[in-house]
Amino acid sequence: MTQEPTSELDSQISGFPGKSLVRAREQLGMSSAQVASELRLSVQQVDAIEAADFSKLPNVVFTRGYIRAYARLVKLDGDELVRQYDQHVGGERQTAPIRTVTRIRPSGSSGPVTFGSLLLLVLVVVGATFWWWQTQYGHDVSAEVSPEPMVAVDTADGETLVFNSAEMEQPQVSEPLLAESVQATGVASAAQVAVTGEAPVGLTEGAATAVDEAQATEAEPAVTQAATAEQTPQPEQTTQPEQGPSESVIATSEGLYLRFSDDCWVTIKDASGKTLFNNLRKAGQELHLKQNGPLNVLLGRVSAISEFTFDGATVDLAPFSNKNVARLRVPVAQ
Amino acid sequence: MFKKIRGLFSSDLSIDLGTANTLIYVRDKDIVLNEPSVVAIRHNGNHKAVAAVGADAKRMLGKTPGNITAIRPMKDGVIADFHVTEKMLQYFISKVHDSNFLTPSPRVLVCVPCKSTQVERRAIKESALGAGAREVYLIEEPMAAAIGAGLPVDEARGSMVVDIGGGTTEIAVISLNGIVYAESVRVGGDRFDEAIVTYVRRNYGSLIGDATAERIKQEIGTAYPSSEVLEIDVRGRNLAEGIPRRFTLNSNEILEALQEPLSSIVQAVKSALEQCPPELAADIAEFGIVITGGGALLRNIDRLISEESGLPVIVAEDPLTCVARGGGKALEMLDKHAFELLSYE
Repeated sequence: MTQEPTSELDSQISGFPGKSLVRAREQLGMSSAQVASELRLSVQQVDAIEAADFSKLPNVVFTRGYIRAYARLVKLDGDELVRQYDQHVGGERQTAPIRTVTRIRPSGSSGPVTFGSLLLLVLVVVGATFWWWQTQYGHDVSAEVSPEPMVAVDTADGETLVFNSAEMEQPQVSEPLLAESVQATGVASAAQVAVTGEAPVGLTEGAATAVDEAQATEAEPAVTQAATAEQTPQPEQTTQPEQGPSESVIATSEGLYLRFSDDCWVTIKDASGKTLFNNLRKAGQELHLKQNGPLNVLLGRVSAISEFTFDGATVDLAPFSNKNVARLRVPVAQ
Repeated sequence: MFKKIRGLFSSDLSIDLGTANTLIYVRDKDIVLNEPSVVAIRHNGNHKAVAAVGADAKRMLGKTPGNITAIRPMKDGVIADFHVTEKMLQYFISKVHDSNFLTPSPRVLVCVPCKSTQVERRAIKESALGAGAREVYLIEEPMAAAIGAGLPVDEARGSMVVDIGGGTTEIAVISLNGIVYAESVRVGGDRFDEAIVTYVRRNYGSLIGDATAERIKQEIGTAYPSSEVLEIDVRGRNLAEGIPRRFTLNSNEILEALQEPLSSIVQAVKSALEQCPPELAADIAEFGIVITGGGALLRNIDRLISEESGLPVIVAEDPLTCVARGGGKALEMLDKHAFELLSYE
């Protein structure tokens, strides 16, 4: 705050016109002692001002005040002398322009107006984001909520069935019917019940074990019974219902076959755009779709696919995956 | 939470909420607003609306039709009309912010008279909060005035500051960032105006308004006799005839008119010097007394106090803005260590 003048500045006495104060004082016929008594200062302080020796004077604030009072006493322009003093000690005062209130807003008070406009802006941003999201992913959402999504299911004997999700209920309902038929014949083994019971749900069954069990039951006399029991809950069979177990071994090499090592979302559409499969598969599950190509396949998580074959040929997913999501069309065009 | 977000877009302010003028200092800028503390309210039935604030409203003082009332919401340095003060502050705070997109929510430092009561301080604080401030700090006016005048308040040296405002005169002796002695008298520019009105009525039998009295004070008012005599022509309603009459006043008459309020100020200064510890009194005697505030612009007031006290008296640079600038400097130190400068309820 205090700006003590340096000895260098003291030598530049020409910067502060102390002599003009002396001249004005002498013109009025006053001595420095008289000035000192008028201003209630000491004679040394008055002499220091006249000699521009500001080291003997206090803080710049007081020095400015003394100079102004002295100038007024000897009828000089105090502001000009103070400006020269400021230049001398190297301090320029800057003043910013002062504003005036000239415009009065209408009485509606600014608060709610700005709040309203902010709220409107937020709504617009939220709306735009939602619209963008809808346009980007809206198709998948609508497929997900469509009333009758198609679900493909592998049966124990290697057949691939395509259901509407509403019809998925039917195989479960048919379980008691199946049990009844087994009891009626009294021949069916517990293994058969397990196989046929699982067949409609049939999501986790390994193809090899299914084939083995199917072969095991072949010797049983009740196999035809089981086969007919299987057929009852299957209203829409996309493949031939009459297929031997020997064919089902080959069946794994026909159509699309996927094995999953982790959870993965799969969407499969045929060439006409009809959704054949649209669901999540869990780790260890597999998906076998006995459908002739071409098929459009969307895999939500490529890293979760441990095996991907079409008509027995392994398909390399790397060229189709982008950020772990693969979109491809099988058979792959060479 | 909304105030915090808006606070990001607001500058810190120091407000000298004075009886006569309100000044706002914006941090890292300077004084950006200096307006009279006047609000004009328009009545539409039961609905009230702000018609004008500041200089526009001041021009309306004493000249309003029935449905407009021009109010000075501050009286004697404290709030007289809480809601109008809040409205006025709201206008001023929004005015100093360039952006109108968000309602500003600044941190605000407000100057309060040193002898104001807890209730009066709370009212000022609440009113600033109501006007949109995020946080409100209070500082005593003489401390802000001393900082604004550039006095070495942080040194172990006595400094005496006399801040003559519109409603009050604050006298304080300051050393080491603290107030050693403070006195506040409810005499200021408004009392000078009233004294002039009374003098004119008594001696000329004419009634003049406050605005005219203020103009007389500014143009020819003096606190100490000088060889130079100034004159002014004024018009007032003659009480006997009921007709407006013109008459001429001179500076010696105004000096006579101002004797009573001036002597109150001089008495308060003398009393402060009497109460002051001797070491600090010695410092004051060596360097002098500093006058700030709008009252310091009255001609020869430094001379009067100097003659009466026998000490050197100087008028601060730009005395009208000292308090606001001092508050601004305190605000800039706020984040560091200046809490000792602040005042609490």
